[in-house]
Amino acid sequence: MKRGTFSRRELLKGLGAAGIFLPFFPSLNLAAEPKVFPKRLILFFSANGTIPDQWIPTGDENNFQFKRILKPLDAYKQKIMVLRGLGLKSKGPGDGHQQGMGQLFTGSELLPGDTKGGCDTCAPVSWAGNASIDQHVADYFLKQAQAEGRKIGLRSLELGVQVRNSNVWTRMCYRGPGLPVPPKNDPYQVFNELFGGVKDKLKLEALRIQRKSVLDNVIADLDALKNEMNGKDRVRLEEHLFNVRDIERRLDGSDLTASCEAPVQGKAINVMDEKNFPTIGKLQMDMLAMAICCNVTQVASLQWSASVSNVVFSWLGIGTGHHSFSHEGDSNANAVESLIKINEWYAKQYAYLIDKLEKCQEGTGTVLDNSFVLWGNELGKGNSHTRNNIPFVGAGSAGGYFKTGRYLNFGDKAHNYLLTSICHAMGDASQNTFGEQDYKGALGKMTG
Amino acid sequence: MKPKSYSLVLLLCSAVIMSITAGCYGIIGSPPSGNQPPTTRTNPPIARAEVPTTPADAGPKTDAGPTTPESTQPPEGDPIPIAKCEIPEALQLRRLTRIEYQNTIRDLLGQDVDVKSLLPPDEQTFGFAVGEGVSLSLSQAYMSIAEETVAKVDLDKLLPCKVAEIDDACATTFIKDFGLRTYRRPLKQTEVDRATALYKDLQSKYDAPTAMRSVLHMFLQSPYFIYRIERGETTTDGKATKLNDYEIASRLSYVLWASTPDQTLYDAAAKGELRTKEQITLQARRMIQDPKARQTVHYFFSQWLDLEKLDNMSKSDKEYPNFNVEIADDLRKETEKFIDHVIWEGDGKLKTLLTARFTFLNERLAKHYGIDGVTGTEFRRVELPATQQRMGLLTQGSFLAIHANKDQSSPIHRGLFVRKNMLCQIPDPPPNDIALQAPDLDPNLSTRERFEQHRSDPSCSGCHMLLDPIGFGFEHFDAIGRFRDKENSRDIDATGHMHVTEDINGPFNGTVELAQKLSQSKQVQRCFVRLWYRYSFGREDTPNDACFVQNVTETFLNKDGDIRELLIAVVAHKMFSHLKGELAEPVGQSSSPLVANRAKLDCTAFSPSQDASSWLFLLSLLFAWIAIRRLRRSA
Repeated sequence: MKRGTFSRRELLKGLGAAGIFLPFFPSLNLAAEPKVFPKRLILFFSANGTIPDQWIPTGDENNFQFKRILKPLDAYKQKIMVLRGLGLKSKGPGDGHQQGMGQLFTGSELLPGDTKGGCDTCAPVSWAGNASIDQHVADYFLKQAQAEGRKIGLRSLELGVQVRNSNVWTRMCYRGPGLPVPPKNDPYQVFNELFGGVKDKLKLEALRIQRKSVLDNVIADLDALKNEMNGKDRVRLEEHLFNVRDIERRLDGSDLTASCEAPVQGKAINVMDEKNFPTIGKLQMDMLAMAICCNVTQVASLQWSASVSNVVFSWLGIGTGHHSFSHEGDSNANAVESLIKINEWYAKQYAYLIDKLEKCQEGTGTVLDNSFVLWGNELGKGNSHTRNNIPFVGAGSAGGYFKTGRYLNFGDKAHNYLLTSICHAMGDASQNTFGEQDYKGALGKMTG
Repeated sequence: MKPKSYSLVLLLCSAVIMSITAGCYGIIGSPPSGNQPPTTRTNPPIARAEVPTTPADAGPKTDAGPTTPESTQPPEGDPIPIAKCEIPEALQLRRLTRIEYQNTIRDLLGQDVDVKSLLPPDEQTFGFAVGEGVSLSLSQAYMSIAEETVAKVDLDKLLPCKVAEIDDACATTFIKDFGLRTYRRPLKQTEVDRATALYKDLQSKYDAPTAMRSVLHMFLQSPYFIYRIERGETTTDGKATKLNDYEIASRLSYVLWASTPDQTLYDAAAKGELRTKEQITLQARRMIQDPKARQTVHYFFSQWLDLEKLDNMSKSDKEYPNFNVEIADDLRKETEKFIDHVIWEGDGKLKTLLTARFTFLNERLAKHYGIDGVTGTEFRRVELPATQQRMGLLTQGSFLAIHANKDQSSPIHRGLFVRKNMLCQIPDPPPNDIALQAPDLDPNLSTRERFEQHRSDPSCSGCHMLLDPIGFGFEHFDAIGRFRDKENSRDIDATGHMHVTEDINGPFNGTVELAQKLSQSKQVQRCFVRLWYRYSFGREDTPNDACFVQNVTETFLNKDGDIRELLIAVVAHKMFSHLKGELAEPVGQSSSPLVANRAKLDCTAFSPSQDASSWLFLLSLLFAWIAIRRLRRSA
């Protein structure tokens, strides 16, 4: 059931298979592919900083060589931008990992709360204080589509690989201040949500009508309750209401179509067993690439573990947890070598993902060309906990907006400029800042 | 001087200095003055000055029998603070946690839901799950779970009439009745009308069963079902807002059953019979007789002991090749069966949980522990052999494996658990830039020797003096809970020391003495009450609502630590039936040791700069360490 390849036509014929999302139901647009392709934003996260010495390329902007960690990206060099010298400059409460994780894609200070981090003098926190870039862009895409009378599928898809718990260390995507979006850990479940379920057209139509009626009533209850509540309770109910309305919206299906292939998942394995970390990660990347190529969504993210990840990379012959090693001094050759291997391994995963997007043809180009895939990390370097020099790498030009194939060094700038650049790349040109209001404007260098 | 004799002299020196400095510990426990860093917790404020001030630690006295805790006298002349009874403003909506949701669906529809794989994880406050987050994943999950669960329900058994003979009257009766059980309050007329309209619309389009199932889908996705809503009554009692009758029924039910109220509770709510302490106590006594109370106790202990960590637990293949998920699962079952037995079939006492000389094992787990005479897959009661130093909960493999590294035991984590979860003292987390790595496995050293090095680093020694000497007491047990006499062919040294507690300071040797110490501590009993507070209210107790801990601890102590009586006392307390504001009722007078202690452990109490004797103590440790290293090399 979880096997096999769908052609686009099969997907459309099966009507999606209703699952939860009903992404292809019912007004499928079987017309010729459009000339202008949708833009996509994909976030990719790995933890605990890098080893800068082996991450920073040699050479200059246009003529550069990867060292060990980014070597796996050699084949995609012309579609890549190495973004050096960008840091998380927000202050506020929280320890290094908390701030790193919460600020990475939101560009703002964390909110105060009662979660204490690993630092004596750092004030306790609750969650990030701003929407993350992916959610902002997802909102933008949705509003734009609605303004133009188009229907789109899933707002965004958040996938994780063995992300445990729910706290500020484990969440990078936010719908708004204090509103974290949990990633989905289970590729089999995601598959079923996207492509499982009812195939019979009549049953599907009935299900759609029933769901709509049910959700209308749920919305009435939410509305009534919301109006009675204040403060945080009200904010949560508003968010709840938004989510239920979003489910209802998607019952009407999507106008977007594209050619794509569903992944082959094979026999189900234990999703949370650490030994399966690489396999589950691959399944999630397959799912993500498919969802992007099939236009199930335009916005997605993949979070490998979480900040302070202590995954033991036994498949690389490493016996100590990632975070434990990341604290070791530079003189510990074994730790440094292991960290290089770990980061190189993540580069291979990133390469795998962009390769999948590159293989989806779109007009004369590829889906990767119409995307921007940003790889970030909550720290610059593990043992110093610095949030300067986050090892950002971007792939894809967002439909020709960015000039790729370059190694850019910004010196020591706030990464907020990068987040603003992404808004512009995705078409949201009105955005002059992202997160902190002090950092106005975008990174001109990225466009050429 | 030969290396060996040099080392022995060093060891002797260190022992002498240690014994001198240990005598100074009395002043180490006193509150630091002057340059305290600003208190960082936003809510509630925690004053460092509330660190226990009692100069109780007399150090390693030779005549102090480990089973007789050194008594603590409250410092003379200190005023005894009167506990306040003001309930802090809190969230009025709490989403059902995964377990509450699972139990609720089971009690309503008789269906099991695999919540761990279907619902996103809950948020936590002080170690206990609180349903706070909302997300699209969650709403989608509620929709699909509702659809899948309701599809499996036999409508004929749920409805007051046969579904084939359903008429409007039956439908309305059902909507009112089932609506009450899902909204946990009577439906308003507008709500009945809306549900009825939904039913009629879909009945005309499809059929009655489809329409009724849709009504159920709607109920199960309604915010009135998904959230525990507490808004209180407009009439106030003193300055405090009281919960209404149905809200009290729900709170009682979710605290004592981790599930939805039953008909008896709804009837009591309808008749206004949940208003007095006596009425609530009567219900509570009935409720803890119900097997559903076991759910709650499992839930509480699972969170307190972090038993979820046993799910998919992996240990180092190299060090523990025989450990697997089946054994991890057995470890959880052992603890659950033991807790069930002590609380529901035994005397119910915390003391017994900590000091019982028996446990529950099957053959596989008995073999794992090296205990003979158990056959078969069934768990049964087994008396613990005296040779293994096993006694109570803290010597069960679940605790020992959870609080351990993958490849070696962890005196730090075990010590931290006792400090944080049994004494309710929260030490500062490690500084940001300090290596958190467990020491490398050195085949020539014991775990204890490797971890001793922590304390030679001044930046670590402060806090680790409060953790490691407790954790060393567990050293007879490895990272998967097996007993050992030797490690790397060196004899195990399980001597330990309690510092900065209110009533159990002093040395001990091994887990038996430690368990006995803990079982006799009032601080431990009060901490246990505080944990129940956090579990029941989903927040930390603050100085403003300290009356709860004070009153309930008194009851708990009077009942000799009977956890069943604690459950009753928690819900019978006046604060339990109130939402917010200050309770008018004065709080009973109490003797000093019950003054709520919300001390954040002040590690600087142990920092070398605080006290010259600490320097000397550290110096002695350093000497001891050098000596041990030299001895090892010369060996």
